[in-house]
Amino acid sequence: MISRLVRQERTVFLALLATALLAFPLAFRENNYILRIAINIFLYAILCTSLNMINGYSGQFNIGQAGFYCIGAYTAAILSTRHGIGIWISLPVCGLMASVASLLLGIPTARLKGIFLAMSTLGFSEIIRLIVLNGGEFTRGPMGIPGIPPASLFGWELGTNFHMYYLALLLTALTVLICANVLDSRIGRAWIAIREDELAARAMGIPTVRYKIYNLAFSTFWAGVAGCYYAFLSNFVSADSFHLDEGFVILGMVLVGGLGSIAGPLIGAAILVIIPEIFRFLAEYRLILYGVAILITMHLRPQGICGGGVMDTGDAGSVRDQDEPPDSEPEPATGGDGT
Amino acid sequence: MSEERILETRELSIHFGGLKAVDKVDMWVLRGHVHGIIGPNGAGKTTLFNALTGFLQPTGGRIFFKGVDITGFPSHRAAELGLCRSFQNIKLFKTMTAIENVRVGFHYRLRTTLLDAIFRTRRFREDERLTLERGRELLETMRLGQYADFKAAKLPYGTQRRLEIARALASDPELLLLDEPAAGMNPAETAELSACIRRISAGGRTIVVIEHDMRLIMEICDRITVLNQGLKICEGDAETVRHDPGVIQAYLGRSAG
Repeated sequence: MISRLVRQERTVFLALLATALLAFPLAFRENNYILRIAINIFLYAILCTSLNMINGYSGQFNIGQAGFYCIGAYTAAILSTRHGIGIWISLPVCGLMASVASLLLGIPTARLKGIFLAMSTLGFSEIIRLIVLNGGEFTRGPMGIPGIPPASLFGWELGTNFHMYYLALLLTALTVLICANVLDSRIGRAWIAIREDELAARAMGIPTVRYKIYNLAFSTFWAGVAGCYYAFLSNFVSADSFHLDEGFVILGMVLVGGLGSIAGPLIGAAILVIIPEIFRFLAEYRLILYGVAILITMHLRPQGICGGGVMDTGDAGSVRDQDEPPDSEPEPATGGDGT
Repeated sequence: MSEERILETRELSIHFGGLKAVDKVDMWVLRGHVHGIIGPNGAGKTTLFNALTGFLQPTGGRIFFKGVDITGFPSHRAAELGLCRSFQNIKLFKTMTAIENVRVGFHYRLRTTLLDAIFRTRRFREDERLTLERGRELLETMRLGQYADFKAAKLPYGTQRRLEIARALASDPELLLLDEPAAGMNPAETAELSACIRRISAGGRTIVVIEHDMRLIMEICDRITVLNQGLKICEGDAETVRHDPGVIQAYLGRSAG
């Protein structure tokens, strides 16, 4: 009964949100600045959702997501400028390239934990950037790859920010939907079980090493997709865009928004894209805002805005944040004041 | 009752450097039995369990499960073969609800692939329905029905221990290994646990239980193995063990004179 009400509320909310997001660019059709901010939010929303699959659900610690983002962007750039391959084929190919590369990181490090794993992902991200930077003819080194043609759909060019907004919205929706579906299955439950207690997960018949590699490959697929979109958006890729800072920005957004929830990374991306824009007059000092936002979040709500208590593992009916069970033994009966 | 040895160890040894935690232990468990493993603290009981379930590599000897040599198998393989355990220090998936904990236990019995999950195929829907329906049944079996939607971490202690057993049962094990299931329970909770274990046993499963609560052990076990300082010192039914001089000495020390 209550859960049906909640589900209805949720459907209404999602419908309103979808309408608003679809209508939004109509009001700002000529305002490229606003559209570009919205596009950035979507781009980071995909990257954050992707990172959250690892850091939030399987509980491993990856801070090198920028490397996989880079692989996606360069794959798209090379395929489009040299082989004339368009965005629609590129998107899944870039995702797969990032996943394949993640195996190079995942297989040797699957048994590492905590800070050791974090350091490996950091190093891997830098290695990818340096390979790209020193890739000679293939990646054109520090000059980057310019002249990526705009995306098109059935011969119809999607060159403007107005069009790219809808493409970003579509990709974000697809990413979130697919990730949510996978989380709400035996695969997602296995990842969460690994986060909660790896030994117990193994005792329950989950091959934990294989599932961690699987998790990394699934997550980095979306970083590759985001990279592909980025290449077609900016028509130019360069190794400069994929510094470690980029990885930290993604991580910061996920931490502020909340690990281990579907909405968290989306909200984190929105907040940390918008705040620096508001404080544009601070020029270079704006970057301090990232640090401040993370510090404030860690202090006031360490689980992030949406994370923590309610772990959104999918099943809306069963995941209510119920507090004490009815006859929790030692405590006296709660007064019913609800707090 | 059949005489099939569902589990057997031959000269099983687990040494940590110079410490012989388990030393050349030969034991076997008959199918359908509730088999107790007792011994003073440090006797090697949990170490033995860890080796049986693939969490530790034995230093020597072999382990046979249903006639198959499973020595050194990784723990998830042991679970697939039908050997599942609970833990002495509770290891539930804390932020998951009780029913979700149990649903994880079904893992290897399901066939959902990544594509099934993304496209919500028939196979996915059938798997989900199975885990929900059978999961609720298991919670009922362990008298946990009313807790289905509560976070595991928020359940009372004794309830958490029963939930661990329910989760282990979800993998449909032929052999269930319980590591001190009654630890920290009050007498009422222990009585309820005892009833639950008997019910599981009546369903045809074999159970091996490590326990310090002698009343519980004597009540539910068909056979008992006694370990002391890594060695097997006695094996037999409750009466045999109760009157064995070696056992009395291990627990109470040597009498003066």
